[in-house]
Amino acid sequence: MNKTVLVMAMALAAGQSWAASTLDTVVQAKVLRCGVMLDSPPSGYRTADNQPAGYDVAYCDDLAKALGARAEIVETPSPDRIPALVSNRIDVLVASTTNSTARGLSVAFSQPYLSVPIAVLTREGSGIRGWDDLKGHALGGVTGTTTEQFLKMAIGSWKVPSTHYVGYGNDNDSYVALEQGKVDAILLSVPVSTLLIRSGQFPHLQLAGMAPMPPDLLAIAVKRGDTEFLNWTRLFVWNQVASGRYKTLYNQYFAPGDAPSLSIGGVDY
Amino acid sequence: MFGYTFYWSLVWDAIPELLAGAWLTVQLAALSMLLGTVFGLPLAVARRQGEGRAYRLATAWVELARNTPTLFQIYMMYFGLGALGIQISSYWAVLIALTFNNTGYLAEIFRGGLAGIARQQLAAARSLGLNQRQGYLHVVFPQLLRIVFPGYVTQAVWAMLNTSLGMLVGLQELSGAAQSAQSVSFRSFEFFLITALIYYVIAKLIEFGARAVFWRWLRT
Repeated sequence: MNKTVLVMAMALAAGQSWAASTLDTVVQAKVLRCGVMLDSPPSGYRTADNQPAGYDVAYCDDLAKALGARAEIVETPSPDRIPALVSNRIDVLVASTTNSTARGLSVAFSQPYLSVPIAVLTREGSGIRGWDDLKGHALGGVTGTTTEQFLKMAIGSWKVPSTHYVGYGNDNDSYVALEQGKVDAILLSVPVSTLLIRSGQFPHLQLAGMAPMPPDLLAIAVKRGDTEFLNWTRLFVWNQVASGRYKTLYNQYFAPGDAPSLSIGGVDY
Repeated sequence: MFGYTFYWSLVWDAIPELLAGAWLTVQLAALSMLLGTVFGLPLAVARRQGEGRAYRLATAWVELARNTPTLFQIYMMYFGLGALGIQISSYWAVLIALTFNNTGYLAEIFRGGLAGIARQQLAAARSLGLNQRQGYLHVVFPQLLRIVFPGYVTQAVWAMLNTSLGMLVGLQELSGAAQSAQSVSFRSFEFFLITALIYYVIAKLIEFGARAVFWRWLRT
């Protein structure tokens, strides 16, 4: 009897907390828990005094400000990003997440808030000059990324038995593995690759042309059932572009000049 | 009830990969226990001497293996050796690190067991014409197995569960396979629940298998 009451009370509590939109809870709590990858400069990294910084962190601060809250940055390495949102450890995910349909089974995506081209990153002396040279090499990546899925599909279609793939637990491990020679190439966004090479921490890395995949359109994710917060997030992304803030942040963290288009011709999002 | 709908069909589709991962887990656990036993027995004997070079080496091994995280040991084998230019695959890195770890724990389990066998037995064996090695192999170790059996089985379960750390260096053992299979859609709950169930079943199989072995061969 007591057990039944307890279970019912828990169900009720859980049901109620679910019913309120994140939009309301954040405005009331004045804190926005924001998931960001901090091993992926310039989108997310730590400064010399260990403070989170980067494009995604600045974007979180903007989001929080628009809600009258402060942003609490929660580090979510690549494979933890979506589980962190599903398990309610964060309110919103601003972590260079590609909006794949499979992921859409677990979370809801806004329209793209950033677009980055994907390159082949290799190591001096690996003999890789471009995408076609990857055949027959040991290739690496991070488990659960869309670049991993693209690479695995390509490896499957090549049918070159000596090609193999190793998936690591976070971005940093994949850079170290590439630098050490455990793998000969990884696929990585151009801005991140450029920064890694410039950082001096990985002196043997070099770019070897582009990967033959469309630019990575990155989207903000919220909990799947939370339509109200999703609508607001979409409005926010639109405002960032319309107000010119998108270009300002892009110029600050990525490159000067025009910021890349966030739409694909021929289709609405 | 918690706003989450379980999509079990995604897991069924990935069962072959999960079972392949489970097989790798069992294989790594068995090999690292076997090798851990082979190295652990002499270490235990050396530890019992209480002095000498072998004693110091054995003590260093046991201290290092038992007082540092298994994860650290695996990382050192994979990325640590890699920094020195020695490249070994994820599989070997995990096998070597787990063997190192198991050896440390098993050596202490064996040493505890040796303490329960009167030293005079070895002297008695020597007086019957057996040399030191034969004395250990034919008189001491057979009794040892019976004494340390429960601790040994616990360690086997630990070794099996510890293989899951291989995921972090890109090994597709059970956890790695599950992580990789769930990472397309991130329907994590479904995949990790089933994976936990598989671990549980393997652990129970080890326990029941051990009980059967004990009943059949080691009962007094």
